[in-house]
Amino acid sequence: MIPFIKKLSSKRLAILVPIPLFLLLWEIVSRVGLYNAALFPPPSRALLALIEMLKEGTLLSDAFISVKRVSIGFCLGSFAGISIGTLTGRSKFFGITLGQLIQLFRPIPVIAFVSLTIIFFGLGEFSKYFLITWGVFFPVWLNTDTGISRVESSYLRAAQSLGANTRRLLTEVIIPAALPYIAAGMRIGIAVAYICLIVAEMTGASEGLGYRIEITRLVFRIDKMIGILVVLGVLGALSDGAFVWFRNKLLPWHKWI
Amino acid sequence: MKRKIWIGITIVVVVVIMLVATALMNGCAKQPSPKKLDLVLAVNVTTYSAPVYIALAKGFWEEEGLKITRKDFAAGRFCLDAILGGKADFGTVAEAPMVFVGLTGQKALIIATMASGDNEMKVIARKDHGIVSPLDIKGKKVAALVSTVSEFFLYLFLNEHGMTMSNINLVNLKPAEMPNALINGDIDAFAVWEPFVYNAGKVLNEKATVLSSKGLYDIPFNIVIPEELAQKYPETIKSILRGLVKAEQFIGTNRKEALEIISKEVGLSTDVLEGLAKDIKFELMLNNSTIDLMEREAKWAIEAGYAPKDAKIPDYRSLFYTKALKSLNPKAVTIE
Repeated sequence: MIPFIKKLSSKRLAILVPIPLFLLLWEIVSRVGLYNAALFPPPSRALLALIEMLKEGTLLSDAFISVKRVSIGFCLGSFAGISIGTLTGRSKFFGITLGQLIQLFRPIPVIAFVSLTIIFFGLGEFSKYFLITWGVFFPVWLNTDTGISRVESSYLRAAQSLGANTRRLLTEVIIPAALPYIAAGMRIGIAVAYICLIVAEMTGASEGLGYRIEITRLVFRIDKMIGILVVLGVLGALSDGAFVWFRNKLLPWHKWI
Repeated sequence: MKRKIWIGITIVVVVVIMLVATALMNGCAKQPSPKKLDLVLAVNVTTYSAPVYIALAKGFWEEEGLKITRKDFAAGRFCLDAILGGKADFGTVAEAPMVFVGLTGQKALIIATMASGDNEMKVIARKDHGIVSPLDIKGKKVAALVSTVSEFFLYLFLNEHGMTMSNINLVNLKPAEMPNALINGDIDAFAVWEPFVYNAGKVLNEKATVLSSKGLYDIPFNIVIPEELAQKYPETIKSILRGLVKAEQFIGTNRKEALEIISKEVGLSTDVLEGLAKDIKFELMLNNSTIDLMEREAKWAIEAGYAPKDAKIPDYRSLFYTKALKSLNPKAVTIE
């Protein structure tokens, strides 16, 4: 065992060791019996619970519906954030009028809107899309607004002196220059979308990962809950990774690692 | 680099040690005291909580030297969370959430059933959504609060009419959210306790129908405490029960005033309450029938996948603290 470890480079050790070590310690602490194993199950039990949910078919269907909700909400929220952010970032009038209205709503946590959303839009899919869209909108709007308003004036003057009209100025100079900001806002938006998803699915849902977390909480199936949290973490990481990959393709001059 | 790895490993080990130390510190026993006087009570809004409302309003617990801070919750299941989480010293909880306490080996104890009845749970449905008889519920969106008497009753109701949970689309909702969801047409029916059924029916009038279910499910509504209270403060439990005995005597002898107090708490008129209260038995007891019911519910929970398939039905007797009630009224306790 030791010679095998010695052969590994420090970098590989740094990659390979932490997660297995963490899982091993967790397994030991859980099995020693200091905590109630039903409430603090070892990772091996969470894995078995995941397999159980896979066999039941609930895991895949819940993951599918949740990803669908996140994708639609994220696209709608990003579209609204970029559109309104461009407007408020370019126009002083809209920056003041719309900007102060948005700033008024921005600090209110999404969870505070759940009851109101159910009253306004009912328990259907629309209320879930709305909550995710609402949550994604703010970071995307803020970054778009900042990015658009910080485009260097020399770029604008140069483009104008070369005869660019308003449309070309916006699509070929302003938005490309602000893209790194917008992309950063959208990346935050992905994480926010998953938070809003769970909030949206915890009430009035009959499927989805958030719904399943709530159900497992009510019946104290913590092993299943941990399994679902792991799935959520993996989905979040995959979404983020896919976004970074796409962004790097789109902005090769401004790569993220 | 290797140094950094060791630092990383050390941090992980330290975090785990801290977790273990916290657990051990939490486990350390505090100095016992003969009686705990300041108590937090977790109450579920239902007509079944009537003895608690009366004991508070008439100062019966104050007479026992107890100072009660009351916290309201949407369901007994959430009262149980407060009790298990150390945020409440006693609370009102039906038997269904306690089934999961037993299945997961947690520590909370029933000290008395304070109300019971077989007509509290109802299914209310939208006639204009095509539901006029129980069988019409097939394929419809039906709300219940998962893991509580609400869901177990729905399960019994469906079984009674030759259906299973897979025949409906179950929506998990808190009781207070159900009437609005039915009124807005987001769901086709819901199964829960009063006053929520009555409130929805009052708004929907002819558009709604209450599907008959009397006699299907006799719910024992209980007072639950954390195990620690029984171990350290047995006298306090007797005081809690004495306050409830006075409350139940008051309900029997001062019906009108009692209904007025309950009316303020649950938001139903005294006339409506009079009708509902006829089906409720307010009497402190600890019956073997509750254990039989809990064992049946545990089987349902395992079948429904709420407990691991290999889970064993625990001895639910261990979730009852009988000493206090036995000392006050031995005849009220049939659990050995």
